Amino acid sequence: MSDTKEEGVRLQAQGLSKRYGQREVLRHLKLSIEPGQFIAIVGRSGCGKSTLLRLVAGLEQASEGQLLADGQPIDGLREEVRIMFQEARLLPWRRVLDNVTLGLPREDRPRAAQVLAQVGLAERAGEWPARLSGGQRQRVALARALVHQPRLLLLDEPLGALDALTRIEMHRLIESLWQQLGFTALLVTHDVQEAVALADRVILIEDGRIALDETITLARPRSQGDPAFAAIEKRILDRVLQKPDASPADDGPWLEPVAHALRWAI
Amino acid sequence: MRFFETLLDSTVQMVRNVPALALIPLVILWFGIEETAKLFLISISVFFPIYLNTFHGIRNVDPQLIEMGRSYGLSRWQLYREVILPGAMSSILVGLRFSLGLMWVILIVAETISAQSGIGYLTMNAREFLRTDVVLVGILLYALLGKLADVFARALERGWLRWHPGYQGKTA
Repeated sequence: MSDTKEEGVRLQAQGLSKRYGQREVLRHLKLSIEPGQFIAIVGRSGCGKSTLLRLVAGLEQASEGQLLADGQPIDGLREEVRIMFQEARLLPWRRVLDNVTLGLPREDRPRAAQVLAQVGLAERAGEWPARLSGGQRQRVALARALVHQPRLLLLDEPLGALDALTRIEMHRLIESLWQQLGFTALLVTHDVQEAVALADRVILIEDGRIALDETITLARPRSQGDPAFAAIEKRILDRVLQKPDASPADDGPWLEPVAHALRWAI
Repeated sequence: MRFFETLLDSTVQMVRNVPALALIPLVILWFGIEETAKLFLISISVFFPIYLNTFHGIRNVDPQLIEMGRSYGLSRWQLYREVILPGAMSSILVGLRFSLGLMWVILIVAETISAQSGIGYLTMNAREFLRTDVVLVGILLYALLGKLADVFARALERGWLRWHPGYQGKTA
């Protein structure tokens, strides 16, 4: 990886809305993210957090309002933005190193090998992805994202499917690479602990709006045993759980079987 | 895109269901009874298994991989070469294997109808003269050629689907 520490992207959302048909997923969202910040977005499933990430990635278009990257509107895929998906999405027919070099010119191969070494997989470069474990695959996906030297890295619950130990390892890896490279990071997660462990700011999205925006000032590296850590985690978790039912629309399908069961009981 | 797919696909489906052997009279009128006629018949009949399987294979390429490729800045050509073609390859090879089998069938039938040489001609001739030994040799030759074609297809699978856990040999 190059030695020049490029600055991350300044990201702004202005009155951002996204609708799918009648359903409004994001409602007039306003957000401003400083370059180089690590932001975690938490929320219940279906709250619109992944949609926000897909809008930032340029994979989808906003219905209203706009997103600005360094003051310029995001209207499509951008070179300085890379996304890490929930699944590793490696091409099974390319060997590990060839997956990392995807979309790069041939002369960047040594650099790709270097990045692969940074995520600790140098000796697996010649393997097929099918022979790697889940955590190793996500590490390859991380290397594939970082080799493009993104100024904004989007993480869409990339650690959701990993076991607890591998997750902690990945947290450390992502944190150290982020500190070293200085990109802006946007992590979507349902795991509050993960959010508090990694982020400068934790943002809670509820019903398409920002319900909580908490700055975390704990020193890094953060330890989950720390009482201050636990207190922040508990506070955010309590806030997430405050609303027992996510939205009235979710109740529809639940009522029907209950009514059915009642009839049988009578 | 959808429109052309519907238009093209229904045409292809209609043509596909015409048995190649029903075309023999027409083919003889157009091309005579030379090699061209046989080549034409064989090309027509091996096209469809490959076409159908390729279509199916492309349809079944993981859309998540295509989305990933797009978001990693692959051009249309790169996307096709790096993601769509390899993703459809196992289906394409199934079509190829099927076509290779069909190829012999059509060739032999074409030879029995109008030819002055070839295995089909040989066996038909032998039948007329009750030469069972020659007929048997002909049949054995078919079996051998079929096996050869299969070995060829398997070699392609080993080469192109090395990454696929379902195709990996013990040594892989």
